This record gives sequence, C-alpha cells and structure tokens, in this order.
Amino acid sequence: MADDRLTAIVKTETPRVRARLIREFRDFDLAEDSLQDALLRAVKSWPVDGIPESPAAWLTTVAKRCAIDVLRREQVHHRAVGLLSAGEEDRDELDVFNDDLMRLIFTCCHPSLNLEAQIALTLRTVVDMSLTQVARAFLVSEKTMEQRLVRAKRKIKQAGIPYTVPESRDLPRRLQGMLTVFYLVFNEGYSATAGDALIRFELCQIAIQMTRQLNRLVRGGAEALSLLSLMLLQHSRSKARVDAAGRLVLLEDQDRGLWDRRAITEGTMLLEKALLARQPPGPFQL
Amino acid sequence: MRYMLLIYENEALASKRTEEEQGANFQRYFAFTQKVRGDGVFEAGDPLLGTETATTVQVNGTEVANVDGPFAETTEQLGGYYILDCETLDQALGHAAEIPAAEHGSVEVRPIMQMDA
Repeated sequence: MADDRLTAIVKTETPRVRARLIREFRDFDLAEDSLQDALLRAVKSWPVDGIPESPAAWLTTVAKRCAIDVLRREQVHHRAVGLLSAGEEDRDELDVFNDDLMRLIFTCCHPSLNLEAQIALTLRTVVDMSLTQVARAFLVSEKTMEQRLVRAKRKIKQAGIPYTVPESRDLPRRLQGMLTVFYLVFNEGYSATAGDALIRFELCQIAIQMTRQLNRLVRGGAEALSLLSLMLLQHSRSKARVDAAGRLVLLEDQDRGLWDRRAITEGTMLLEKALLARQPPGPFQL
Repeated sequence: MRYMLLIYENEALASKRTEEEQGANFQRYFAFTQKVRGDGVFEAGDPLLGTETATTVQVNGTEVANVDGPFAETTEQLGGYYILDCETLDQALGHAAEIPAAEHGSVEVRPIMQMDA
C-alpha cells in the first residue's frame, strides 16, 4: 500500500516540480538531472522517514541542493549563489507550482518550435511520458526522438524563448496553437493504436486538465470552451468504447451505463456557453 | 539577448509604389524606429539599396569570383535590418510584427550569437 501511495505522489508531483525547477534554473537539462537525483533520494528516504507534508516542496529543495552541487563542481559559483537565494515567495505554494506548470506548457507550445516538437516536448515534460512512449507515439526510434527533443530544448535556450505566460494582449494569437497541441495530445490518448490502455486514458485526462487551466486563463474564449466540451463529450464514452478484451465497441453496441454522465452534462453546458459567446466560430466549435 | 530582424519583401512590387505611398511607408519606418528607440531596445537598423546594386563574392582556392546580383534568386529579397536588444524572443517577435514589411513580406528574427571576451 505504502508503495502505491509513493508511486502516486511521484506521478502527480513530478511535472510540477520539473516546471518549477526549469523556471528557476532556466535550464531543462539541469532541472531534469537534479529532479531525477531528488526522486532517487525520495524513493530511498520516504519509506523510512515517512512521506513529507509537502512532497513537491521537499523534492524541489532536494533537487535545488543537487543542482547547486553540480554547479559548484562545474565551478559556476555565481550561478549557484543565485539559486540559493531564488524562489523565496510568500504566495500559496500550490499556486506557485501550478503557475510554473502553466509557464512550462506555454514554453513547450511556443510557435517558434515546429508542431511536432511542441507535442513531443509537451508529452515528455508536462505529461511526463518516457522517451520510449513519446518515440512510440510518433512512430520513430528513441534516438530520433531524443535528437528532436535536444534540438527543441536547444532552440528554447538559444533563441531566448521565454518561460512565461504571455501578457493578455498576446494570449489570443497563442491560443489556437496551444489548443491544437492539446487536441493532438488528447487524440494521441483517444485513438492511438499502440500502447497501454491505462496510459492512453490518462493522456486524455491530462489533455482535459491542460485545456481546463487554459480556459481559466482566457475566460470566455469560445474556442477554448468548445475544445474542452469536445474532449469531455468524447472522453465521457471512453470506458464504454473498449470491451474487457480491449476491442473497440461501436457506438450502438456500447453499454450506456458506462458513459460518464457528469462529463456529458458539463460538455453540453460548455458548448452552449461557447455558442452564447457569439464570437465567430473557430474549427473546434464546428 | 540581441536579435537581428531581417526584412524581406518583393522588390519588384515595392518599386511600383507611388511617391505618396513611398513617403507613407518611410514615415511608418521612421515611427517604428522612434518607438524601439523609446523602448530602449534599438541598437542599429538600416534599409539596403536594391539587389540590382548587389555583388556576390565567392573564393575558390585562389580564384575570386565577383558575380552581379544577390546570393540567391528568391521571390522576396533582403531589404533592410534592425538589431534589437530584447529580454526574450517574444519581445523581439512583438517588435517584428510592427515592421511594415511584415504585412506584405516577411521578417525573419534571428538571435545573434554571443561572443565572450
């Protein structure tokens, strides 16, 4: 039981901690390495000492210490000193982590990266899929996928792609691109033929979560509402779509009792709201 | 971070502008330059004379070849540039979108390599 809880915590906290570390270090690789160090230490010490009150904060602190060690070894003292004093914020801790996750999503979905790189980077860093899983999703070898990710991360660093949520006047022109990435992530979960069914179910849920967060950011945007509605309505039938043997079940043969009524109600409500917004309809609304 | 904004437009179309249109276009560039100066990001910026004044140089071994015309024949030609010192790519992209040529041509934004020492 304890092991299950630990795995579950690691699963939910990893993307958040990663997002926070990337913001503070402004370096994807240093963030990833120190996160892995911290996770390793957590797996060793939590079963003995108990799970800390705030696992995310614990992981962040340990990862920062690991990163500082690395930087010291590389004798980049001025950067190490900067990290020590960084991140002393008064705001609600969960808010800070969630904001960082949103920043990371915007960075991964920056239009200066090609669409494939945007999706791959989102799957790898935000969704926390393994390199193997991302490579399989794109039907390329792990080596090819790794090179793509390296190139994308290098461009973020070299071209100065910011690690921020755009100002509200810039949001509209970023929105459609973000929604496209989210929709493709969702589709990867919804209709992918390869991979573990459970992972694919989770992909849909993550895509819905990301779209929900974006909706909060762009209150009343008809396109974002429409996409969320579309995802909820499709996802509401997920459990009925596949039979016990993992085969697809056609709509007319599905057990309607397995449909998620709450998702259907919410999806329908959102679509009505989107229609009421009376903005020119975009592709997702149609 | 320093960025070079390379301004491309179709020379043939640009040369067909009336004097009045030419003046209005110049005014817009003047206003843009004033704005980026005011924002404190301007480092340099100039329009270039047309590609009919260009010479392309290539050296093969000891042979120097000077050839009339631009390096590559394309539908849009490099017509000017700005160098801006911006915080992020998004800031540079925001300025690039205000360059008049972005409306009918293209503006390519390239980070300038940082040379230490």
